[in-house]
Amino acid sequence: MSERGPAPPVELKENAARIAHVVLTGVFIVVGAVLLLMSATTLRYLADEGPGPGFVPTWASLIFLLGSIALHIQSWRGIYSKGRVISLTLRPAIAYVAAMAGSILLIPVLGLLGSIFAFFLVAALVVERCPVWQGLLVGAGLTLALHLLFVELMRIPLPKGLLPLP
Amino acid sequence: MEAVGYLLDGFAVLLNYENVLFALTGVVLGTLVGALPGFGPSAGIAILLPLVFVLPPAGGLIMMGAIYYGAMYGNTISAVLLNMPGDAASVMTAIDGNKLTQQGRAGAALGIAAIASFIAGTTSVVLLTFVGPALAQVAIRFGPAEYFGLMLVGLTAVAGLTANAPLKGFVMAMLGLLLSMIGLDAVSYQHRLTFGSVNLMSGIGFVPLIVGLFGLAQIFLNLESPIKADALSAKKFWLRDVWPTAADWRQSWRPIVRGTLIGFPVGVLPGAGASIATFLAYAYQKRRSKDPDAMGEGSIEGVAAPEAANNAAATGAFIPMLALGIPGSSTTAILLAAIIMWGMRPGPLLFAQRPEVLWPFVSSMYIGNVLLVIINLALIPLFVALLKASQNYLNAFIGVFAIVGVYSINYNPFDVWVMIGFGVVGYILRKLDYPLPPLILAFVLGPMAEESLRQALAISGGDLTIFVTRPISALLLAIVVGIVVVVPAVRVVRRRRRTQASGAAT
Repeated sequence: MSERGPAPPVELKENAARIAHVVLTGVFIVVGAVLLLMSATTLRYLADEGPGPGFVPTWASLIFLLGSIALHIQSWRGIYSKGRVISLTLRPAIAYVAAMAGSILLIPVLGLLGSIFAFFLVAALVVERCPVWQGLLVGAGLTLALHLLFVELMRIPLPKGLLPLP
Repeated sequence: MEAVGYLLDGFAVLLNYENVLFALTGVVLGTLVGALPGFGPSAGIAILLPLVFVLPPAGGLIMMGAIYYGAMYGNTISAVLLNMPGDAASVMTAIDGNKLTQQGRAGAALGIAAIASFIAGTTSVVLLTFVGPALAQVAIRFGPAEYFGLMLVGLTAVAGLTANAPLKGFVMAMLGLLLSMIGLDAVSYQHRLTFGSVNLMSGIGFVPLIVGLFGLAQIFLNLESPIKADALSAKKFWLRDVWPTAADWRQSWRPIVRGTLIGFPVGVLPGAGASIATFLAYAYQKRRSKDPDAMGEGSIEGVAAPEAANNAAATGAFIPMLALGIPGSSTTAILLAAIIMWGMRPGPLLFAQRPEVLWPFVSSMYIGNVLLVIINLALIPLFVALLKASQNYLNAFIGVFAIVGVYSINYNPFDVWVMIGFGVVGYILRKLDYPLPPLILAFVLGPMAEESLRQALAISGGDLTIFVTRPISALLLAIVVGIVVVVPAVRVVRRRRRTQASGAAT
């Protein structure tokens, strides 16, 4: 890591942690309600030979919804956030996710190995802040190792994208 | 004695150079991945799972089992050297193990851990060899109603007993069940919960889900706190450093025996798991120790007992997974899902119908334990050197492996998006203390539980009393009710008594 060190964490103290729990369980309620509605209205509950395709999803989403409502109430009351501080360091994780997402989008252009090399460079140089020359060398070595393992040894063809590779 | 014959047949299949190579590769890779800080056996197996699927079933199962053992020991390396246990089962090892590292005795701690793992693991595999087939013989008489009850017991045990908040565990289990329903219904071929998406018609892939929830989420957690590798940078390890002294042996053999005897039966129980086994073994050893005050301050007994219990429990957990098809932890759930993806159905019929796959796997556990102790005692210096050299790139390496592994299953970018999505979800859930094992178990068991439920009701003509009129099914449902109702009620009563007692004290 470079001398700058990691990004400072964001700390969610008790009230903010409570809100985080409330939001998450709120999302659960919405998801549960939507799934319950879908399974109850679009899937057959009973079939000739017994439970239909909607039987288990209906009950599972109902129990999920009721459980989420109970969790939501407990979250409002602060049961899960009492005395808790949640520490978040989001910038590296967001950069990492963005690098992964970018690499997937680049596969049709750079091929899989090219995209992996690009992802590694971003993860190592931007997120982990490793020295540039070292990151380039390690990234190239890793890409070569993956080529040897997947393409040469395991005979698994990998997408080449638009690159003029053999 | 039939089991011994099958076991010898298994060795005959195992002892060709290919399968031994798979076992060796699995142990080394598993140890390396398990040694990554924060990565426990579940995450280690999840990351390496895509690699295993290109192999034939017998070889893949052997490699997967070896990865499991390797990852457990690798977890011990990061627990002892860095005080970063990758799962709850290594927490007790980290207490004394890291203290020994600070006292300059990291080698002895790792050496005793390897030997304790070997002795406990081998003893437990011997027990599995005889208990597994016997249990399978009993379970072969189970019908769909009994299987449904068994799966409910497994699910509720993990959800209700392992989570700090059982309600969170049950909600996670329902979420896992719903995720498993996405896709085509196996009976009616109707699309379920796909929201019209073509990609979701084949359901959520198990590998992207597990790599995201365990692997990627752990990377996000690791990114928050850079690895403090003082222990790695300060010392050079040599082989002589890891071999225990005569005094270490004298102090360790009884804790190893106790840990094994406690760990194995606890591991067999679904939901109990290796973490409970290690806590029990540590607590019991502390009571029986000649110097209990030394435990917690760098005692070799504090490493030997929980390590033995950990490995004994991990092997014991294979019994319900193989004989009944019921995994008792997220790690065995991952193994179970992999077996299903190879087109096999774990359970009593696996012993009867696929002995050519099962018994080489059991035989490989004997070989895996031997390889583990030899490789880890010989290669601990190499593993530590590799960790030292690559510590700045570990997260990037794992990300690369995750993308390539998940993408190469179907060459579908959607799988990688699923992995990323579940990585974010897994990170949020772990930050807010939502347990993942119930979600994984429900995802794996959900389709089988639904199939058993539908078969049972088809047999009974839709009559629900089939689940209570069949004695074993009724017993299993009573256990489920006990876990769902009685255990939380007991916890509430105890919490109220504690509150009253502390109120009276003030």
